[in-house]
Amino acid sequence: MNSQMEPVEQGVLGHLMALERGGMGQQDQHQSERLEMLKLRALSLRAKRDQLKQQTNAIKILKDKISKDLPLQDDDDAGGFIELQKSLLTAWKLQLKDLQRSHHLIGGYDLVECKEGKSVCVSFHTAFEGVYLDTYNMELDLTRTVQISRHNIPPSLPLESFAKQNLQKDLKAFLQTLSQNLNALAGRRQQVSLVKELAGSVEVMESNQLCNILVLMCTAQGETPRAVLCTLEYGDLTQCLPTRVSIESEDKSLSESPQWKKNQSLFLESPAHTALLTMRRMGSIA
Amino acid sequence: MEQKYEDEIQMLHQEIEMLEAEQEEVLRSIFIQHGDRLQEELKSVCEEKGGGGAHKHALSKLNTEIRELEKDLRRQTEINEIALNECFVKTLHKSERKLVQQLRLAGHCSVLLFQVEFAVTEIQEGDALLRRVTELNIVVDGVEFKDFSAFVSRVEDTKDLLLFFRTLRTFSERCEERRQTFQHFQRLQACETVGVLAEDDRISIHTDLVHVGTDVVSVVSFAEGVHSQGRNVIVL
Repeated sequence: MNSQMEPVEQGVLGHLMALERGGMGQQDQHQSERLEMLKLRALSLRAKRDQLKQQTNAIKILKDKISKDLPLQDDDDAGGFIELQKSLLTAWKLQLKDLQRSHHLIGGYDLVECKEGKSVCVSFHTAFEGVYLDTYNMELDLTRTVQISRHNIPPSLPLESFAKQNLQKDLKAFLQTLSQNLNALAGRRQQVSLVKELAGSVEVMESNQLCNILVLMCTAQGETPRAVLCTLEYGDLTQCLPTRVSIESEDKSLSESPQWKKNQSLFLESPAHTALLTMRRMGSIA
Repeated sequence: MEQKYEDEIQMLHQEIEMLEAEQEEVLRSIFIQHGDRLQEELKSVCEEKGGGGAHKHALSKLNTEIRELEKDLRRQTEINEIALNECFVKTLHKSERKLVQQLRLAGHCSVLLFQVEFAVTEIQEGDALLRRVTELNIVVDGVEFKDFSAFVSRVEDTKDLLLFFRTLRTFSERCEERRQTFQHFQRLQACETVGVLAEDDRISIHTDLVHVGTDVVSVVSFAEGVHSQGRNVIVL
C-alpha cells in the first residue's frame, strides 16, 4: 500500500501514524501512572485498615481488663501504657462530644463566647411535631450593658419589646420568651405549609408573616358540595393552636350543624392539618 | 488490573468506616459501663509526666481538648438550665447522607428529674440537613401534677422533644416559686396567724374565719401586705 503512494503522502501518512503511535504511548504512560497511583492508594488504605484493627483490638482488651477489675497499668509495657491512656482520654472526649450534641438536639442555646468574652452568640432552634425547622442566631454584646448586636430574628416578632422587658435583668427569661415565640411562629408556619400539601378541596385563602390568622376554604361533602370558610385566629403568639375559630357558609344550616360545631372544636384542639385530615377521614370535607 | 485495585480501594474504604464505627462503639460502651471509675483514673493520667516526647504531645493535646469541652459543657448547662448526668448514644445507621441514632439522656432541671429516650434521623439533602425525631419516651420524677402527666403523654405522641424541655424549664421555675411561697407561709404558720395547706396547683390558706385558695403569685404579695398590718383575716 505504501509503495503505491506519493512520497509526500507517505510522509504525511507516516507522520500521522507516528503521531498515533505517540498518542497511544502517552495513553499507556497515563495508564501505568494511574495504576501506580491506585496501587499506592490501596497500600496506604490497607495500612490504615490494619492500624485501626490493631487499635480496636487493643481497646477491646482494655475494656475487658476494666470489666474484670484488672490493673490497667502494665509496668513492662511503657509504650502500651501510653496507648492505653490515649484510648481512655479519647473515650472521655467522645463522651463529652456526645453530651454537647445532646444539648444541641434538645434545643439548647449553643452558647458560644466570642471576642474574648466581650460578646456571646446564641442559637434558637425551632421544631414542630418532631421535625426540626429553622435556626435563628443572635450576638449579644456584654461590654457595659447587654445589647443585641446582630441577629436574624424575623421582623414580625416584637424583639425590642422583649428586650426592654427582660434583657438587662433576666437574660434567661429573655431567651426563653424569644425561644417560645420563635417556636410558636415556626409551628404555625409549618402548619400552613402542611395544609397546602393536603391538596384536595382545601385552599389557603389568607395567611400572613406572623401566621396569626389563617383563612381556609373547604368543600363540605353532601348532596350538593358547599363551600365553607374557616377562619382561625391565633390570639396567643406563644401558642401553635388558635384561640378563636369561626365557620362560615352560604348554607346557614351547615355552619350551625352539630357536625361543623365538632369541626370547630377540632380546629381549636389540634393542629390545622391534623384537624383537616380527620375531617376528610370522617367524610365531612372533600 | 485497574478495576481490581479500584474494587479493593472501595472495599477498604468500607472496612475502615466499619472499624471506625466499631471503635467508637467500644469506647462509648467503656464509658457507659465504667464512666465514673474511669474519670478518677483519668484525673491521675492527666497529671502524669512520664512517656516519650511524641506521645506526651498527643496526650497533652487530648487533655487540652477535654478541658475545652468540659468548659463548654458547663456553659451550656448553665444557660440551658438543664443538667445532663447520663448520655448514651447508639448509632444505628451511618452513611454519607444519612445518620440514625438512638439517645438516652438522664438529668435534672432544678429539682425535676427526667429520663428521655429518643431516636433521631438526619438526612443530608443538598445544602439542607433534614432532621426529625422518630421516637420519644419521657419519664419525669418529682412531679405529681395530673396536668403535667397529660402534657408529657401528648408530647410523646407528637415527638415534640424541644417543646418538652422548654416547658420543663418553665414548669420547674413555677415549682421553685411554689416551694418558696410554701416555705414563706410555713414561717407565718409558726407565728400562728395562718394555717397553710399545699395541694396540687394551689396553696390554701386557712384563718379562723376564711378558707382561701388562690394561685401562687397573688397570694404572696397580698398575704405579705396583710401580715405586715397585723391582721388575721384574709379576704379575697
